[in-house]
Amino acid sequence: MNQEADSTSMNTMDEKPKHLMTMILEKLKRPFIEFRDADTPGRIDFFGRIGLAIPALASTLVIILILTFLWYESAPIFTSPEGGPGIIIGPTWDPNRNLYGIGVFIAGSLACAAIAIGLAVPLGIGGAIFLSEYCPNRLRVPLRMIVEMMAAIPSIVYGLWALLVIVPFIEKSFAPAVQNNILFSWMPWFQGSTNGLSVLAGGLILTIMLLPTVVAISNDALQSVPMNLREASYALGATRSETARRIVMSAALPGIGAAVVLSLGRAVGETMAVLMVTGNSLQVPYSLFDPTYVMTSIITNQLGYAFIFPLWRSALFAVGLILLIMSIFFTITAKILIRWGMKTRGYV
Amino acid sequence: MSTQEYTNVIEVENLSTWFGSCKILKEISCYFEDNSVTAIMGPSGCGKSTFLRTLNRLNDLVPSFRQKGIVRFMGENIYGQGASVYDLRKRIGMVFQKPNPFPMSIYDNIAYGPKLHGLNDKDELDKLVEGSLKKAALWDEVKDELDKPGPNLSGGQQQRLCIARALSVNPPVLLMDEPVSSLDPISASKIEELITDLKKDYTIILVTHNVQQAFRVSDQAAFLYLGELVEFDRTKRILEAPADERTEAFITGRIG
Ligand SMILES: Nc1ncnc2c1ncn2[C@@H]1O[C@H](COP(=O)(O)OP(=O)(O)O)[C@@H](O)[C@H]1O
Ligand SMILES: [Mg+2]
Repeated sequence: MNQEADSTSMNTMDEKPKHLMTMILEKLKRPFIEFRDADTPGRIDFFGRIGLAIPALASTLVIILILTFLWYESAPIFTSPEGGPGIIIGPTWDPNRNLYGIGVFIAGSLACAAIAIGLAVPLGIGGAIFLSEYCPNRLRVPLRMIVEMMAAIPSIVYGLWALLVIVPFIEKSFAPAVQNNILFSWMPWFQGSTNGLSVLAGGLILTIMLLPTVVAISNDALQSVPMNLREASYALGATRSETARRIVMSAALPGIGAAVVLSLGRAVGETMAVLMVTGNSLQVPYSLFDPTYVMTSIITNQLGYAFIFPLWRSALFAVGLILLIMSIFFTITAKILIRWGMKTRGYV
Repeated sequence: MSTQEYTNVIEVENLSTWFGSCKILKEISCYFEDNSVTAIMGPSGCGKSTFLRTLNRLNDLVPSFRQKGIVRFMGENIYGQGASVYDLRKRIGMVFQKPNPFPMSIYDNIAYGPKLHGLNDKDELDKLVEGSLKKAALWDEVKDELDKPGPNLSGGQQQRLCIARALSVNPPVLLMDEPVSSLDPISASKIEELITDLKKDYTIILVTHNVQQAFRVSDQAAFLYLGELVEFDRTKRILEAPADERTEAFITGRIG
């Protein structure tokens, strides 16, 4: 350890006086010099390194290219007098009158995603804890298989099912039940008549679609918590549930965080199922029973008509750009939180 | 548990255990005196860990585990009807072969046990954490970084943290399963010293593979061979004049 540290510090001392360009050049040349001097296994290793660097760099490049392309396509709306950056909070979308407020879609997407995350994360983690800590081994394997199968169902199938089950359920049972109940009827988020096509329906079907991801990934994280941590907890007199909640959950939190990151991305990015059940009405939802329009739906529904109208088209690309920025933002925030969680747990 | 009369803090009578159909421990009878160190020796796989984990009922976690015979802790049969396994484990601490600090801060590692059992007062917890770390001879090294994650300590420090964690709920008995076998010699000797110190206040049952170590720290010793208790007596007597040839073979290094 010490020796290594010494030698690196000596290296940096040697390099200090040199010019920056020569340093960069040397850094670029080093792999080739190493390659020339290496023996056969060394050369194979070199090719492996390059071979793996290509996909890693490619994905970075793809993200950058997509961002540039979206920016390029949506620049007209952001720079024109009809649009401008204000469209991000603009509540009215009416291309016929040159009103391109996309705030309504952002609000719709966030509302659906919030419902979905709010339900899917706690339920999914609960399910994962059950699978990993309580479920007998014999039952765990088939249950996991079912969960993984759920993740593979195409979203349009979920949408069809939601249209036939969730939407009528909200219209005929859930809405009348809460609106006739004196405990809930006064709450603002339960107001308004509904035909079932609503934020709530979108949020619920998203919840069902996210659940398998959350359960499967969290379950993996929980199962990889070493047995000896559980034993240490039991040996202090903890019960099974105390151990599951305070030790296993806490130790697996970074992994569970990763599950949440993945589902966040899917929650705002999911298209078909949500499009089919949210009613696609251009209004900011104030109640769970209000219909709404999400970002992905507006792009899918209008891109075909909009192609010949430059501003309209550009506004749709702007929606896409903001969607991408939102998911990048969510992912980075979650990653920072995960990183912090791993630090406090001594994993890094 | 009630305050029954008892002579030895733990008494084991005719204890046999099985994993599935495999009989691991065979009719073991022995006892552990207050404030003594007992070394349990024997070759790998002879059932030392199984024996230790039967004393705090940690083996109950293994579905195929079965046991017969009586283990009395402070006069009460721990496998008897109505015996609380949580209460038992709270009063019999355990330190494992591989250091296993929780992935949380040093402070939280130690506060975990007391919090579990209902202590929430911040000042008392602070005092308890300090006291436990002092007993485990770790306080001076970590007192300025109690919020650092436990797993970031060195191996020897981690093991002392685990000892401090076990002591945090103040158990009269401490089980140690080869606590130094994964550590470097210096950390190992520190922990050996610690064991000798702790004897004043605790009954320690120490599984060890190392005859010299048993000689240095223990008062009594038990020699297990293929699940059988071959010898059980003063350590000095066993090591200086083994009565059984299997014990002698182990001491001289021919088996193990
Ligand atoms: N959880 C378990 N399930 C089944 N068999 C086990 C289990 N734990 C230990 N054993 C068996 O019990 C025997 C004794 O193991 P152990 O007590 O760990 O030995 P030691 O600690 O003396 O090396 C071994 O043969 C081992 O395979
Ligand atoms: Mg062992």
